[in-house]
Amino acid sequence: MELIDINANIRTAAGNSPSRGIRREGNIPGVIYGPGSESVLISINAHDLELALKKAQMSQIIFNLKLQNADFPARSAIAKEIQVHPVSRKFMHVDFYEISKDRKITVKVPIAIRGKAKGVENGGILQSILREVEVSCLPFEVPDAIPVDISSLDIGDSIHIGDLPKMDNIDFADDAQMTVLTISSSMGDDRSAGAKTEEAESAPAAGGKKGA
Amino acid sequence: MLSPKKVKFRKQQRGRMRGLSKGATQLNYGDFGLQVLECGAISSKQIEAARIAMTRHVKRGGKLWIRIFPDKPFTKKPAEVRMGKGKGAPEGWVAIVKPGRILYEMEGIPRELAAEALRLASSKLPLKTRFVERSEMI
Repeated sequence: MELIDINANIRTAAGNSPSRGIRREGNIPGVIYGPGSESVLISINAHDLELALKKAQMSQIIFNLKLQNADFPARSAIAKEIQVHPVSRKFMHVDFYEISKDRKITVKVPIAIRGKAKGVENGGILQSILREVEVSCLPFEVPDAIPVDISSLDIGDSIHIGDLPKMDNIDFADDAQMTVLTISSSMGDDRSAGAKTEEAESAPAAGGKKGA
Repeated sequence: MLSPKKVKFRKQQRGRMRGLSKGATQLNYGDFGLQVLECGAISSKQIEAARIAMTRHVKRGGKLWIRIFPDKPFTKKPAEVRMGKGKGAPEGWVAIVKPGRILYEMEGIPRELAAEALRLASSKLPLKTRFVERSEMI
Protein backbone atom coordinates (compact mmCIF):
# COMPACT_ATOMS: atom_id res chain seq x y z
CA MET A 1 0.00 0.00 0.00
CA GLU A 2 1.14 3.51 -0.82
CA LEU A 3 0.61 6.25 1.78
CA ILE A 4 0.05 9.62 0.11
CA ASP A 5 -0.56 13.00 1.76
CA ILE A 6 -3.14 15.18 0.07
CA ASN A 7 -4.53 18.59 1.02
CA ALA A 8 -8.27 19.06 1.23
CA ASN A 9 -10.58 21.95 2.04
CA ILE A 10 -13.91 21.72 3.79
CA ARG A 11 -16.72 23.02 1.61
CA THR A 12 -20.09 24.12 2.87
CA ALA A 13 -22.07 24.55 -0.34
CA ALA A 14 -23.44 21.40 -1.93
CA GLY A 15 -25.26 20.83 -5.21
CA ASN A 16 -24.69 21.24 -8.92
CA SER A 17 -23.85 24.92 -9.19
CA PRO A 18 -21.28 25.16 -6.33
CA SER A 19 -19.72 21.87 -7.52
CA ARG A 20 -19.32 23.25 -11.05
CA GLY A 21 -17.67 26.33 -9.56
CA ILE A 22 -15.21 24.12 -7.68
CA ARG A 23 -14.38 22.21 -10.90
CA ARG A 24 -13.82 25.49 -12.78
CA GLU A 25 -11.12 26.38 -10.23
CA GLY A 26 -9.26 23.13 -10.92
CA ASN A 27 -10.54 21.31 -7.85
CA ILE A 28 -12.79 18.30 -7.40
CA PRO A 29 -15.74 18.13 -5.02
CA GLY A 30 -15.69 15.13 -2.74
CA VAL A 31 -16.95 13.65 0.46
CA ILE A 32 -15.34 11.75 3.32
CA TYR A 33 -17.35 9.28 5.36
CA GLY A 34 -16.88 6.21 7.48
CA PRO A 35 -18.37 4.22 10.33
CA GLY A 36 -18.76 6.26 13.51
CA SER A 37 -18.06 9.63 11.93
CA GLU A 38 -20.26 12.16 10.21
CA SER A 39 -19.73 12.71 6.52
CA VAL A 40 -17.84 15.89 5.59
CA LEU A 41 -17.99 17.65 2.24
CA ILE A 42 -14.52 18.46 0.95
CA SER A 43 -12.73 19.62 -2.17
CA ILE A 44 -9.28 18.54 -3.32
CA ASN A 45 -6.95 19.65 -6.07
CA ALA A 46 -7.51 17.68 -9.29
CA HIS A 47 -3.81 17.72 -10.21
CA ASP A 48 -2.80 16.33 -6.79
CA LEU A 49 -5.22 13.41 -7.22
CA GLU A 50 -3.97 12.79 -10.75
CA LEU A 51 -0.37 12.61 -9.52
CA ALA A 52 -1.36 10.26 -6.70
CA LEU A 53 -3.13 7.91 -9.10
CA LYS A 54 -0.03 7.81 -11.32
CA LYS A 55 2.00 6.42 -8.40
CA ALA A 56 -0.28 3.47 -7.70
CA GLN A 57 -3.68 1.98 -8.45
CA MET A 58 -6.71 3.48 -6.74
CA SER A 59 -7.18 0.50 -4.40
CA GLN A 60 -3.48 0.53 -3.45
CA ILE A 61 -3.43 4.05 -2.00
CA ILE A 62 -4.17 5.19 1.54
CA PHE A 63 -4.74 8.93 1.45
CA ASN A 64 -3.73 11.03 4.43
CA LEU A 65 -6.22 13.87 4.04
CA LYS A 66 -4.97 17.07 5.59
CA LEU A 67 -8.04 19.21 6.10
CA GLN A 68 -6.96 22.85 5.83
CA ASN A 69 -9.85 24.73 7.40
CA ALA A 70 -10.99 22.21 10.02
CA ASP A 71 -10.35 21.87 13.73
CA PHE A 72 -9.93 18.07 13.67
CA PRO A 73 -6.66 16.37 12.65
CA ALA A 74 -5.83 14.65 9.39
CA ARG A 75 -7.88 11.62 8.39
CA SER A 76 -6.75 8.41 6.72
CA ALA A 77 -9.00 7.21 3.95
CA ILE A 78 -9.18 5.13 0.81
CA ALA A 79 -10.77 6.36 -2.42
CA LYS A 80 -14.02 4.40 -2.54
CA GLU A 81 -15.29 5.80 -5.82
CA ILE A 82 -13.99 8.28 -8.37
CA GLN A 83 -16.48 9.61 -10.90
CA VAL A 84 -14.95 10.42 -14.27
CA HIS A 85 -16.51 12.40 -17.14
CA PRO A 86 -17.17 9.86 -19.93
CA VAL A 87 -15.83 12.05 -22.75
CA SER A 88 -13.27 14.47 -21.28
CA ARG A 89 -12.10 11.89 -18.68
CA LYS A 90 -11.76 14.63 -16.08
CA PHE A 91 -12.46 13.79 -12.45
CA MET A 92 -15.95 14.83 -11.40
CA HIS A 93 -16.25 13.68 -7.79
CA VAL A 94 -14.42 11.53 -5.31
CA ASP A 95 -15.67 9.50 -2.35
CA PHE A 96 -13.23 8.86 0.49
CA TYR A 97 -13.89 6.11 3.00
CA GLU A 98 -12.30 6.68 6.39
CA ILE A 99 -10.27 3.75 7.72
CA SER A 100 -8.75 2.74 11.01
CA LYS A 101 -5.76 0.43 11.52
CA ASP A 102 -7.73 -2.27 13.36
CA ARG A 103 -10.88 -2.38 11.23
CA LYS A 104 -11.12 -4.61 8.17
CA ILE A 105 -11.96 -3.02 4.85
CA THR A 106 -13.17 -4.49 1.58
CA VAL A 107 -11.15 -3.44 -1.46
CA LYS A 108 -10.62 -4.63 -5.01
CA VAL A 109 -7.21 -6.12 -5.71
CA PRO A 110 -5.94 -6.80 -9.24
CA ILE A 111 -5.17 -10.32 -10.43
CA ALA A 112 -1.61 -10.91 -11.65
CA ILE A 113 -1.46 -13.65 -14.27
CA ARG A 114 1.74 -15.73 -14.22
CA GLY A 115 2.98 -17.97 -17.02
CA LYS A 116 1.57 -18.83 -20.45
CA ALA A 117 -1.35 -21.23 -20.63
CA LYS A 118 -1.02 -24.52 -22.53
CA GLY A 119 -4.38 -23.74 -24.17
CA VAL A 120 -3.13 -20.39 -25.51
CA GLU A 121 -0.20 -22.14 -27.23
CA ASN A 122 -2.76 -24.53 -28.80
CA GLY A 123 -4.72 -21.62 -30.33
CA GLY A 124 -7.11 -20.70 -27.54
CA ILE A 125 -7.38 -17.25 -26.02
CA LEU A 126 -7.14 -16.20 -22.41
CA GLN A 127 -10.32 -14.50 -21.34
CA SER A 128 -10.22 -12.55 -18.09
CA ILE A 129 -13.68 -12.39 -16.59
CA LEU A 130 -12.66 -10.77 -13.31
CA ARG A 131 -9.65 -8.47 -13.47
CA GLU A 132 -9.98 -7.58 -9.81
CA VAL A 133 -11.27 -9.54 -6.83
CA GLU A 134 -12.78 -8.14 -3.67
CA VAL A 135 -10.77 -8.93 -0.57
CA SER A 136 -11.50 -8.21 3.06
CA CYS A 137 -8.45 -7.40 5.21
CA LEU A 138 -6.82 -4.79 7.42
CA PRO A 139 -5.89 -1.57 5.55
CA PHE A 140 -2.13 -2.01 5.76
CA GLU A 141 -2.27 -5.70 4.76
CA VAL A 142 -3.89 -5.20 1.35
CA PRO A 143 -1.82 -7.20 -1.16
CA ASP A 144 -0.51 -5.51 -4.31
CA ALA A 145 -1.95 -8.31 -6.47
CA ILE A 146 -3.29 -11.84 -6.29
CA PRO A 147 -0.91 -14.10 -8.28
CA VAL A 148 -2.53 -16.76 -10.48
CA ASP A 149 -0.46 -19.41 -12.28
CA ILE A 150 -2.15 -20.39 -15.54
CA SER A 151 0.61 -22.48 -17.17
CA SER A 152 -1.30 -25.77 -16.68
CA LEU A 153 -4.61 -24.54 -18.17
CA ASP A 154 -5.86 -26.01 -21.46
CA ILE A 155 -8.72 -24.87 -23.74
CA GLY A 156 -11.97 -24.99 -21.79
CA ASP A 157 -10.30 -24.82 -18.36
CA SER A 158 -11.08 -22.01 -15.94
CA ILE A 159 -10.04 -20.68 -12.56
CA HIS A 160 -12.62 -19.74 -9.93
CA ILE A 161 -12.36 -17.61 -6.79
CA GLY A 162 -12.13 -20.81 -4.74
CA ASP A 163 -9.00 -21.86 -6.68
CA LEU A 164 -7.06 -18.67 -5.86
CA PRO A 165 -4.08 -19.05 -3.51
CA LYS A 166 -4.96 -18.58 0.14
CA MET A 167 -3.18 -15.68 1.88
CA ASP A 168 -2.78 -14.94 5.58
CA ASN A 169 -5.42 -12.62 7.12
CA ILE A 170 -7.06 -12.06 3.74
CA ASP A 171 -10.56 -13.29 2.90
CA PHE A 172 -12.13 -13.25 -0.53
CA ALA A 173 -15.44 -11.39 -0.39
CA ASP A 174 -16.75 -12.77 -3.71
CA ASP A 175 -18.54 -16.09 -4.16
CA ALA A 176 -16.10 -19.05 -4.43
CA GLN A 177 -17.92 -20.28 -7.58
CA MET A 178 -17.30 -17.08 -9.57
CA THR A 179 -15.06 -17.51 -12.61
CA VAL A 180 -11.88 -15.44 -12.65
CA LEU A 181 -10.50 -16.42 -16.04
CA THR A 182 -11.03 -19.03 -18.69
CA ILE A 183 -9.23 -20.32 -21.78
CA SER A 184 -11.71 -20.25 -24.63
CA SER A 185 -11.41 -21.16 -28.28
CA SER A 186 -10.57 -18.22 -30.57
CA MET A 187 -12.95 -15.84 -32.38
CA GLY A 188 -14.86 -17.70 -35.12
CA ASP A 189 -13.99 -17.06 -38.77
CA ASP A 190 -16.02 -14.64 -40.85
CA ARG A 191 -17.90 -17.31 -42.78
CA SER A 192 -19.62 -18.77 -39.75
CA ALA A 193 -20.52 -15.26 -38.58
CA GLY A 194 -21.89 -14.47 -42.03
CA ALA A 195 -24.13 -17.52 -41.91
CA LYS A 196 -25.50 -16.36 -38.57
CA THR A 197 -26.13 -12.93 -40.08
CA GLU A 198 -28.22 -14.35 -42.90
CA GLU A 199 -30.37 -16.21 -40.40
CA ALA A 200 -30.90 -13.07 -38.38
CA GLU A 201 -31.72 -11.02 -41.50
CA SER A 202 -35.05 -12.79 -42.00
CA ALA A 203 -36.06 -11.96 -38.40
CA PRO A 204 -36.89 -8.21 -38.67
CA ALA A 205 -39.37 -8.67 -41.50
CA ALA A 206 -41.10 -11.48 -39.59
CA GLY A 207 -41.08 -9.39 -36.38
CA GLY A 208 -42.57 -6.43 -38.22
CA LYS A 209 -45.47 -8.45 -39.60
CA LYS A 210 -46.24 -9.87 -36.18
CA GLY A 211 -46.58 -6.41 -34.70
CA ALA A 212 -48.99 -5.22 -37.44
CA MET B 1 -27.61 -8.35 -38.85
CA LEU B 2 -28.74 -7.53 -35.33
CA SER B 3 -32.42 -6.85 -34.77
CA PRO B 4 -35.01 -7.46 -32.04
CA LYS B 5 -36.82 -10.81 -32.15
CA LYS B 6 -40.19 -9.32 -31.26
CA VAL B 7 -41.41 -5.77 -30.67
CA LYS B 8 -44.53 -4.40 -29.05
CA PHE B 9 -45.00 -1.60 -31.59
CA ARG B 10 -43.71 -1.60 -35.17
CA LYS B 11 -43.04 2.13 -35.55
CA GLN B 12 -41.49 4.65 -33.20
CA GLN B 13 -41.19 8.43 -33.15
CA ARG B 14 -37.70 9.79 -33.69
CA GLY B 15 -37.15 11.38 -30.27
CA ARG B 16 -34.33 13.68 -29.19
CA MET B 17 -30.67 12.89 -28.62
CA ARG B 18 -29.25 15.04 -25.86
CA GLY B 19 -26.68 14.65 -23.13
CA LEU B 20 -24.08 12.01 -22.45
CA SER B 21 -24.26 8.25 -22.30
CA LYS B 22 -25.46 7.10 -18.90
CA GLY B 23 -23.92 3.64 -19.04
CA ALA B 24 -21.39 1.56 -20.98
CA THR B 25 -18.79 4.33 -20.76
CA GLN B 26 -16.04 2.09 -19.37
CA LEU B 27 -14.32 -0.96 -20.82
CA ASN B 28 -16.05 -3.82 -19.02
CA TYR B 29 -14.95 -6.86 -21.05
CA GLY B 30 -11.92 -6.28 -23.24
CA ASP B 31 -8.64 -4.39 -23.12
CA PHE B 32 -9.32 -2.11 -26.10
CA GLY B 33 -12.44 -0.37 -27.32
CA LEU B 34 -14.05 2.16 -29.59
CA GLN B 35 -15.79 5.07 -27.88
CA VAL B 36 -18.23 7.35 -29.66
CA LEU B 37 -17.85 11.11 -29.25
CA GLU B 38 -21.13 12.43 -30.65
CA CYS B 39 -24.83 11.66 -30.61
CA GLY B 40 -26.37 9.71 -33.43
CA ALA B 41 -28.01 6.61 -34.79
CA ILE B 42 -25.98 3.61 -35.95
CA SER B 43 -27.86 1.21 -38.21
CA SER B 44 -27.67 -2.56 -37.93
CA LYS B 45 -25.94 -2.61 -41.36
CA GLN B 46 -23.21 -0.27 -40.11
CA ILE B 47 -22.75 -2.31 -36.91
CA GLU B 48 -22.35 -5.45 -39.01
CA ALA B 49 -20.01 -3.79 -41.54
CA ALA B 50 -17.75 -2.60 -38.72
CA ARG B 51 -17.77 -6.05 -37.12
CA ILE B 52 -16.79 -7.69 -40.41
CA ALA B 53 -13.99 -5.15 -40.95
CA MET B 54 -12.57 -5.99 -37.52
CA THR B 55 -12.80 -9.79 -37.76
CA ARG B 56 -11.24 -9.74 -41.27
CA HIS B 57 -8.33 -7.61 -40.12
CA VAL B 58 -7.67 -9.65 -36.96
CA LYS B 59 -7.90 -12.94 -38.94
CA ARG B 60 -7.30 -15.30 -36.02
CA GLY B 61 -7.45 -15.05 -32.25
CA GLY B 62 -8.92 -12.35 -30.12
CA LYS B 63 -12.42 -11.81 -28.87
CA LEU B 64 -14.90 -9.14 -29.80
CA TRP B 65 -17.85 -7.67 -27.93
CA ILE B 66 -20.56 -5.47 -29.47
CA ARG B 67 -21.87 -3.15 -26.76
CA ILE B 68 -24.77 -1.64 -28.72
CA PHE B 69 -27.98 -3.17 -30.02
CA PRO B 70 -30.20 -1.66 -32.75
CA ASP B 71 -33.59 -1.74 -31.03
CA LYS B 72 -35.22 1.33 -32.62
CA PRO B 73 -37.08 0.89 -35.93
CA PHE B 74 -36.92 3.52 -38.66
CA THR B 75 -39.38 3.91 -41.51
CA LYS B 76 -39.13 5.04 -45.11
CA LYS B 77 -41.67 6.02 -47.71
CA PRO B 78 -41.35 4.36 -51.13
CA ALA B 79 -39.78 6.33 -54.00
CA GLU B 80 -41.96 8.76 -55.97
CA VAL B 81 -44.74 8.82 -53.40
CA ARG B 82 -46.46 12.07 -52.45
CA MET B 83 -46.30 13.30 -48.87
CA GLY B 84 -49.11 12.35 -46.52
CA LYS B 85 -51.14 9.12 -46.39
CA GLY B 86 -49.51 8.11 -43.13
CA LYS B 87 -46.09 6.99 -41.92
CA GLY B 88 -43.91 4.85 -44.15
CA ALA B 89 -43.13 1.17 -43.74
CA PRO B 90 -40.46 -0.10 -41.31
CA GLU B 91 -37.15 -0.17 -43.17
CA GLY B 92 -34.54 -1.21 -40.60
CA TRP B 93 -33.16 -0.87 -37.13
CA VAL B 94 -30.83 1.62 -35.48
CA ALA B 95 -29.03 1.95 -32.15
CA ILE B 96 -29.15 5.42 -30.61
CA VAL B 97 -25.81 6.33 -29.04
CA LYS B 98 -24.68 9.31 -27.00
CA PRO B 99 -21.15 10.63 -26.39
CA GLY B 100 -19.04 8.38 -24.19
CA ARG B 101 -20.65 5.09 -25.19
CA ILE B 102 -18.30 2.16 -25.85
CA LEU B 103 -19.36 0.55 -29.13
CA TYR B 104 -16.97 -2.40 -29.45
CA GLU B 105 -14.43 -4.05 -27.16
CA MET B 106 -11.58 -6.38 -28.10
CA GLU B 107 -9.26 -8.65 -26.17
CA GLY B 108 -6.56 -11.25 -26.77
CA ILE B 109 -4.67 -9.40 -29.53
CA PRO B 110 -1.71 -6.96 -29.54
CA ARG B 111 -2.43 -3.25 -29.11
CA GLU B 112 -1.35 -2.25 -32.66
CA LEU B 113 -3.59 -4.89 -34.25
CA ALA B 114 -6.55 -3.83 -32.11
CA ALA B 115 -5.96 -0.13 -32.89
CA GLU B 116 -5.89 -0.78 -36.63
CA ALA B 117 -8.94 -3.08 -36.50
CA LEU B 118 -10.91 -0.47 -34.57
CA ARG B 119 -9.76 2.27 -36.98
CA LEU B 120 -11.12 0.23 -39.88
CA ALA B 121 -14.35 -0.29 -37.93
CA SER B 122 -14.69 3.42 -37.23
CA SER B 123 -14.52 4.16 -40.95
CA LYS B 124 -17.75 2.14 -41.36
CA LEU B 125 -19.58 4.22 -38.77
CA PRO B 126 -21.32 7.57 -39.28
CA LEU B 127 -20.03 9.15 -36.04
CA LYS B 128 -16.76 10.46 -34.66
CA THR B 129 -15.07 7.87 -32.45
CA ARG B 130 -11.82 7.32 -30.56
CA PHE B 131 -9.70 4.34 -29.57
CA VAL B 132 -9.60 3.64 -25.83
CA GLU B 133 -7.61 1.16 -23.78
CA ARG B 134 -7.87 -0.22 -20.29
CA SER B 135 -4.72 1.47 -18.99
CA GLU B 136 -6.38 4.89 -19.58
CA MET B 137 -9.37 3.97 -17.44
CA ILE B 138 -9.49 4.24 -13.65
